[in-house]
Amino acid sequence: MIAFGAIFLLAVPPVSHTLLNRIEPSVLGLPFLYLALFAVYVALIAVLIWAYRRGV
Amino acid sequence: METWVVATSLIGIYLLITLGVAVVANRHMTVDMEDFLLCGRRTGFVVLYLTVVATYHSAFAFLGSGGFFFTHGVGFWAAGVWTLLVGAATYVIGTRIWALGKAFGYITPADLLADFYESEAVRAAVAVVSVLFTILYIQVQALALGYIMDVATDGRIRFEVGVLIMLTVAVVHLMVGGLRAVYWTDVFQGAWMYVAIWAGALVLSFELFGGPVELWQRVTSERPDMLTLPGPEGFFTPGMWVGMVLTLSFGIIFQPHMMIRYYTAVDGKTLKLLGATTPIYLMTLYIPAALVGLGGALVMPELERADRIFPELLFQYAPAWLTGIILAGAAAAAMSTLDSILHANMTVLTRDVYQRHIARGKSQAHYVFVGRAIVFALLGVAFALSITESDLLVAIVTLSGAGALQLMPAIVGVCFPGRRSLSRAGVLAGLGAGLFVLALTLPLNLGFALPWGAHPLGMHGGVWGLLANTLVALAVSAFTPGPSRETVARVHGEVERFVYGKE
Repeated sequence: MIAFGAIFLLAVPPVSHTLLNRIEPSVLGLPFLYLALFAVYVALIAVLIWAYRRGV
Repeated sequence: METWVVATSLIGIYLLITLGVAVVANRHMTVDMEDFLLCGRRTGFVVLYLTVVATYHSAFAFLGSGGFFFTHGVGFWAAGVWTLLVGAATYVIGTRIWALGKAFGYITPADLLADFYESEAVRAAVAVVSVLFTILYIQVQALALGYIMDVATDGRIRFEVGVLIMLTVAVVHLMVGGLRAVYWTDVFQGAWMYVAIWAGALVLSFELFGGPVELWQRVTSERPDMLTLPGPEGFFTPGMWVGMVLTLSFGIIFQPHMMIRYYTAVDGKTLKLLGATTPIYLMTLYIPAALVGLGGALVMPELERADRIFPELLFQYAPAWLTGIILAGAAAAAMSTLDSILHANMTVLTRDVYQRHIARGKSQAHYVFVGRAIVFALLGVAFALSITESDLLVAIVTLSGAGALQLMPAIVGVCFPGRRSLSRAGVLAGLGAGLFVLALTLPLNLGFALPWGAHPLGMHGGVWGLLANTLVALAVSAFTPGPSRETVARVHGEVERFVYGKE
């Protein structure tokens, strides 16, 4: 729950609307905001699966 | 062969398969309310997974999200964190709802709330809110089905006729096969729509731009305003972000068609696995949706109805066979949610209104018959709504979610034991306050202009409603008697047994 909440904060305002809110640096033409959020979403899924496997 | 012939034929085949599944499901059905309404609470992971994601991702995901990317840029991806909240909420709240449903035989959301708050008034209020706001969801699916038929037949079948054909199939399918038919068709609809949207988006991006990477590069150079927040029209402010995330996650989870799905799980572990893995499907579906919407903004910037961007692109730039398959997938997306909502509304109206207040003590066969008649009546409502003027599909969905979101304080009060419970008066007052504030803060056509306008201070009306709801519920509960000690001990004891003990 704590890990999920902590990572979740990276995808919410104000972080999403300030720190992540830019196009550069881009990777393979994908804008930074899009990629950064994708990384956060994958991390959140990983936390949920980890919790399930641990039987939390 | 012309594209419209292929597309229409494939949609026709899809509709025939849907009806065939209903007939087979009917042969497995017993004349029993729990079997007709909850599949006997025996649904395993694969079927539950595909029915949940197919129901979640309706026309608003297949057509509406592309339209939202087309209009507001990458902000919809930023709000996509709701897909993760759905997983977490299913894991934490959904499992508790399941445990209580199994222990006390709940069938509808109102069963859960009326039992804990010991109030038939709470049951009636929850039933009304549930049905009222999910009817908007029916409107979204009916509109989308009309668009799909219109585009697939290249205007040869009028929008209204297309809606009527699709609605009739959905209703017959549900009346014949019950929830089992809905679940079975959701399995292939869920798989079909996922493959279809990915295939369509990739084909279009290669056909029009040389690939997804090249598409993103073109958007970066030609429309950089689409790639940052709050988007080209300034829509995705932090307040709107919060509102969209809450209404699309909790606002949909607390709608009856989703809560009923929690009740149907075979066990709590299945539901936890569902929560952990649902976001994989939900989140990754917006990757191709972004390609469609952003690519469409470059290719067809003049398109008037943003929600039509995907089928319009397909019709112009994709091969006929693929267009047909994908449009049938879009129809599957809308149908899978439509039949689920029709089923949920039928369940709520049969169980919470007819069985409780109109005709008690009738046979199971009688209630199943009445349930089927209610589905037929809902067909008329859905058709009438679909031919009225309407906003973007996503906007209607968030309005629907904003209404169901008002059930959140009451549901949290049941599922999370605390030192003091909300009272029935608090729940009712909070619900009333939340809906009142919602009406004053959403872009509704009230016939006069409100001085603060829609979504005051850039905050979504659903959030204003939830704030008012929570504050009033807590304040009134502080001065009015809560549920009896026996009920609190029984219900919260069951929650604690589930969370801390063995199932």
